[in-house]
Amino acid sequence: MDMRLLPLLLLGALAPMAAAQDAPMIVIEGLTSEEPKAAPDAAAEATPAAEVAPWIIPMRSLAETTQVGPLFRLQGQQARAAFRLFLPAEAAGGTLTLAQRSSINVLPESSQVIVRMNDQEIGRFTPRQFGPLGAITMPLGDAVRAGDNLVTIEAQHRHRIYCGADAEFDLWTEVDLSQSGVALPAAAVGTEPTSFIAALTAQAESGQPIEIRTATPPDEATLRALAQALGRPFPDEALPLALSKPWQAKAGHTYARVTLLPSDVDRATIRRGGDGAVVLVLEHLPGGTPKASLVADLLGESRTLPPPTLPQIPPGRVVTLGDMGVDTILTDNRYFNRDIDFQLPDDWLLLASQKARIGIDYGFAGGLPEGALLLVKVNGTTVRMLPLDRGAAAVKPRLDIGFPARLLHPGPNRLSFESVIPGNPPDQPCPVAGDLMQVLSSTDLEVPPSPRMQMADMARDLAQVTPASVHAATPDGLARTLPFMSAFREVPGAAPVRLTVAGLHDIAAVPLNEEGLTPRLLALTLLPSTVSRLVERPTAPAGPPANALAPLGAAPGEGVMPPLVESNWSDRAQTFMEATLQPVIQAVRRMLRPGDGTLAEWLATRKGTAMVLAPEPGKLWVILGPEAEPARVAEALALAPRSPGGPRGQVAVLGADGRWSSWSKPGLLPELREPVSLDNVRSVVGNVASARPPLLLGGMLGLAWISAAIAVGFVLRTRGKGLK
Amino acid sequence: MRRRTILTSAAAALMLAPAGRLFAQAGGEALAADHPLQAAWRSWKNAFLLPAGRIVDGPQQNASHSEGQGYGATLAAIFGDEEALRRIVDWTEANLARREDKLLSWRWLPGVALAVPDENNATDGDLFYAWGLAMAAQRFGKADYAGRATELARAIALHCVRPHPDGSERLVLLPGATGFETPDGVVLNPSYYMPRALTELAAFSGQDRLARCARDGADWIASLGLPPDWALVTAFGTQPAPGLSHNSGYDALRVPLFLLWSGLTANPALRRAVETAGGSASVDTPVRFDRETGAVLERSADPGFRAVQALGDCALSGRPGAAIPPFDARQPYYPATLHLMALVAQVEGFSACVPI
Repeated sequence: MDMRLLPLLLLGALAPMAAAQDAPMIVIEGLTSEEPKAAPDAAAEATPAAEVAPWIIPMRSLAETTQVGPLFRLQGQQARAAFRLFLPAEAAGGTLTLAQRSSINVLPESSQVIVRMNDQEIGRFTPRQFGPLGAITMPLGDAVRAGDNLVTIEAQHRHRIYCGADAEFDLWTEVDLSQSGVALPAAAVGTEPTSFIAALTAQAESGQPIEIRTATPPDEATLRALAQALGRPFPDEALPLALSKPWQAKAGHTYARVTLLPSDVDRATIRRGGDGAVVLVLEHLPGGTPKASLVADLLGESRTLPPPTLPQIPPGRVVTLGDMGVDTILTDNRYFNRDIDFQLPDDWLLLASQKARIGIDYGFAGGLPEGALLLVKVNGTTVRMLPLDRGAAAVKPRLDIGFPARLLHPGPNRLSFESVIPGNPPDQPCPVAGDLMQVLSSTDLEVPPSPRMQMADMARDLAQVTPASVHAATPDGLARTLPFMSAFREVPGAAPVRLTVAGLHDIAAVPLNEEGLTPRLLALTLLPSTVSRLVERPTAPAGPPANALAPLGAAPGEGVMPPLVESNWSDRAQTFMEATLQPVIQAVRRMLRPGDGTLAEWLATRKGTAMVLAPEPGKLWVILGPEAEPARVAEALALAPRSPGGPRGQVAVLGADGRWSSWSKPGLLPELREPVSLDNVRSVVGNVASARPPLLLGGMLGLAWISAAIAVGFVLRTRGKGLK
Repeated sequence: MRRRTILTSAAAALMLAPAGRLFAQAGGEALAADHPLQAAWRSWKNAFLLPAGRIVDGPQQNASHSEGQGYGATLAAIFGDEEALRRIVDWTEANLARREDKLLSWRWLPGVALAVPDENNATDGDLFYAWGLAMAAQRFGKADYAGRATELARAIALHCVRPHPDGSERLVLLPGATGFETPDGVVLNPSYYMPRALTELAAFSGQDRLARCARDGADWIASLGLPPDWALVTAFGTQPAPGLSHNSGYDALRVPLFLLWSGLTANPALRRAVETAGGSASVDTPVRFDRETGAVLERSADPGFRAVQALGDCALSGRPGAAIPPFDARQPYYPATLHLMALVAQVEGFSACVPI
């Protein structure tokens, strides 16, 4: 069954359609006075009144997600997810449809899924839809309101057979976001601003771009203002905006678009297009500029949820989880992970051996099986493994965990608590028990203060990007920048930053300042594997290679490995020496220049859809690969200032899974943003020495040489005097 | 009421781009090769034009009509598609040009021994075919097209234009050369009048009777209210044609389109048709009406009918932007062709009615 039909079936009662009528056929043969030739027997060929599929106003994931495709998975014994749902007023009294399915491992009798709208439960169901997706509907009740709504889905799963951390990965319920939401008959969607915004969400979810339809595209500033106005109701989201011409046919259903029209008045109205789309028509004087402020005014009244913000941690002060807005964490999951994101000042920097501290107040149930563990992680690095299989107590004595402060970054960071509790026995369903582990809200974190220092880092520049920062690499690429313009918000007091959006074909314009970064390497990283494989295999030369030269244009890291079999003993000896010495050379190089290694080597092992370059402070370049969806990349970048996993350093690659890999140039010196004083000199020197060890080494050697020279001079002078 | 009508019509007339007249364009320029509407023309061709040049009306036994060939020739000329036009002309001349009076037989049937069982003509087919050739002659500089267009214009003027039954100097356009003149009067089809085609063909060929016929026809249509599919015109007025539809149906749907395309936005029949059909927001367009009550007898989901209605809505409302759906070649031949014609009419004459 086509799942697209599900809501249609469900809406059967909602959308009374005009019954198709059997049109009488007028057949007029020949030409007589009684039966002249008629126009085509159109009655026979006309399509009767149509059944139009209802619109699904979709739910949009609230949290940063690496989900690829429309299926959102709630995994584990206890799982919870939050979604935005922007509804027009006409949705009142409607129903929420969830297209969902669960793992066959879920035991329905002991499991349930609870759905809440704006913190009010609107329904719960037993997960017993295995295999294909099934539709669950529930009335919205009086919890719904026009504008943004918060939908939370909480899944409580129990395994049929097994118990344990591994078994938890087999427990899931998936929601198809492309087919879940509030179904409305197409004709019922109105022309209010909330209707248009809701239609925009449906259009974005459809995978089709949101057209800005105009016979003559306006200038960049106007498009920027328009994209910004359209994006305002969607904090943290990027709209897949695209330019189109009025007469262009388009595949797929259209829910919403914007049309710019010359007129005798500046005016913004919302109408229905000939294809049923909700169209925001922005009229402007002929030859004049469309006034995007009219769009902002029209949409600005709509109620939207504020974007989430990260708690700020002031260095040098003890901050509890409660202070960060985190309640006591309780879980009965066998596998559990909870990330707590927080923000450090942008000019906080400690690279040496300073310690930060987590004071953890936790407890766990008795009788947990051997191997039960609680991992405490900072930015993905485990800083302590706490056994949960001995010494059980509801609240254990406070445990202070010191960890290297250099694990923390300026900007967003992540503290994680991850527990793994084997089943006991593992081959039977988990007994229904109380909470297995808790981390109290009194748990605290103390980050040592640092001198005000900064390293060159794209993360800091990204936090300053506003719609005005976004530019196209070439005039032809203007349309590609629209999602970026819609994604970013105004930043009060933002430093001037320029974000240039380029495609692979603009590669000639991209500043490849980083050593080892070549157009070929960049292209290989962003091209699909099927294509890059062809590029990576240059045609074999006719004869044996004279030496192992890298292909033309290749970076050093791409050099072809020396052949292991050679015809004479000297070549073999040379090869052996190279193979033996290479690791040593690499190790020494890493010691002298700690960090991510050369860019060429780093990039050679990475593949992505888009790349961000920070060739110099205040200048960012986004290069979109052929498989990149501009809106998805824009969204990932807009989230970056609050994402601990966001792009950092000088080069970052966005993988197909939505995760960033970042490369920082080794040996970059931090910049001190306050005077050197006795209070900060130790940290300053520590940061400099950690960033560039040879500097400390050289300095120390220099001091040693000076000391030695002084000593020698002293000895010589002293001895000379004695001899006299 | 009348005053309001006039005012709105005046506003609508202001929206008409003066450069809408094809023949008024320098050298009779076709639609630019990179115009986005060219994609719709390509879709139309792919759906309905066979390689041999035959335009297929699928639901009508896959038949071809002189009307379809005429529509195709006109559209090919407008879109500057000389290759398609040549195919259409070749096929039409080879299969439908079999009458001594040079008019075209109205229908060709595939897969039967006698492909043209009835050699009668249909005047609208002849008119559009001749109009298309006249445009093509100007745009492509082909003398043979000009000659054939002139020949057809002369034949239409001679065999299909008759004096009004009331004995006045007015002229009427018969739907065919024979069979439409009765002792009581003449049977006419308002949708066979395409005033602009008649006027421009008259100018091209020197057949002034065609231009007069266009004026008189437009006046007659203006008096009809909601245009019927067929009507009997007598010395005393217009009445239902015996045995033929007097409802406003699929035939009559073309009347507002041709009035719009001709720039005759002040014609009351256009307003009546647009107002009776209501707004263009609904997916299901009313396509057949009871002329007496205005009741909707039938609706259609084909976007082509909605396109005509939306263009009329926009042209008369004075409000920029039309809810014309994007062209969709998945609909049958007839609504698809009306759809494409509505888009052409918009591009040529109603620049403010760009699809929103």
